[in-house]
Amino acid sequence: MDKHIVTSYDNDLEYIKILIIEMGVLLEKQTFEAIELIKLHNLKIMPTIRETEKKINSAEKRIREYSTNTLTKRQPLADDLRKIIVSIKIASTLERIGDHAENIANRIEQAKIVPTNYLTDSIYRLGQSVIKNLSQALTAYDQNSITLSKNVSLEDKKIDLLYETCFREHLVLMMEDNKNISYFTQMLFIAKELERIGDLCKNIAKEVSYSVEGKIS
Amino acid sequence: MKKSGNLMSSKIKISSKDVSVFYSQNKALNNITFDIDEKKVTSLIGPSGCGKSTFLRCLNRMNDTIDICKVKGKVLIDNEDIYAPNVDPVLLRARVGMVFQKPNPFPKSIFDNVAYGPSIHGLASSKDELENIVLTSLQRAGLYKEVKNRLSETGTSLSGGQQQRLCIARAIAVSPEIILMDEPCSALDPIATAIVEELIDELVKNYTIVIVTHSMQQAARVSQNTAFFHMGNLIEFGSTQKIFSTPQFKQTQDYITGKIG
Repeated sequence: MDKHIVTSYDNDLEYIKILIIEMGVLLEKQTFEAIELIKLHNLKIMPTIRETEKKINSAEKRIREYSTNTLTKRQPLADDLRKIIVSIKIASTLERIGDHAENIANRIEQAKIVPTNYLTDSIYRLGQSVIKNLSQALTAYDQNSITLSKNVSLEDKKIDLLYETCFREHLVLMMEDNKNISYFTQMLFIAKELERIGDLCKNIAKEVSYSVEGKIS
Repeated sequence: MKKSGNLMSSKIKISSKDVSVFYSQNKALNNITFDIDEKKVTSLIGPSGCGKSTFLRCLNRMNDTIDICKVKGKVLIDNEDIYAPNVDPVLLRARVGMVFQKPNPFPKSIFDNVAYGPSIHGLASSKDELENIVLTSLQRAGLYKEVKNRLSETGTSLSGGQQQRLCIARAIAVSPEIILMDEPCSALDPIATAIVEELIDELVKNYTIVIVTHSMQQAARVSQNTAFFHMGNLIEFGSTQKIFSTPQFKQTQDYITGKIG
């Protein structure tokens, strides 16, 4: 990448990128822990999840402030302008992913006892696909990679199919065992939260494409 | 040079065809070919010495005043070559007015500054008509309200921003079709700049404007089309929106983003 004549301008852009990547790491951790809760039901980590959610919100605020400040100072154009706009949008998208991850944890907390006949791990597997795609979207951002961005969109289609499978499967479970409908409903909500995270990963990938190519898709 | 973006189709006012400019043996402009739309603002941008001001001065034959300067190629205004032997440069400059970087009012009254052009070109048949032209021009330049009670004071007594608007009033007093502006705001503060930019938005309804500016933000704000010059060449020409968001050429991108190319 060509350097700016003003070195501190490069430092500003680099710093925004570092802030996004750091926020991304927090999100990967948060989403991972929420998904592990589906399997392990280890509710002792709930305070950590709530603490991380606060850190995520602060990280978004910090990126917005720093980006706004850079816009004011540098009045960027072309690819520089796109990079900053995209950073603000990705930070906001990550913050929403954080909300969904916290919602998953809260629903596990509410669901309490797992019914003995609940043997499927389809939602956990859906979660694993989602977190893999989140990592891929963040790598696409880090590496300015159009190829990885496209992969994220392709993977999201598979995630949507997995979600539909989970949905049908839980509908059948509800019909077969109406005593545990409230548990299955919580699990369906969790599946929906995961599907939404998948969509948001796709949005991140689109922003990366816009940043690199300047085309709005 | 390549066209960028979807240039909205409108009537071409100025057509530059293979324009090259030489200062003695030095070539300052290299085969510049592009069209400038009527009643639009076209910005010329580029680093110092890239030829943008030289090109601007070709459009009203201001370069004729420099002995060592030679212009080759054609500049057509409304399809007529302004370098044809039968064209009178003085009359041409009435059609193509110019506003310079530093406000340069004559050391005369505010009224006389604006009245001078219409008087020498015989545009007013009576004193009333001349007064009417002066007042209309001052109004169009957005200066009338500020100077209406001091028209007999010298033009140089005004503030920098007011002086620049006086120069704009002077330029439009001779009913030009085109106004050339060579960094018109570089000597002005942000408020005076904003007033001049507001005026440009207003003037473009009636005039074709070509502006040279070093402020990328100003070009982005005031113009519909932008041409990027570099070392005497026209690198990229296109819609301002396209040039400043997704330029096609690396040289353009490096310049507007302040990178070391």
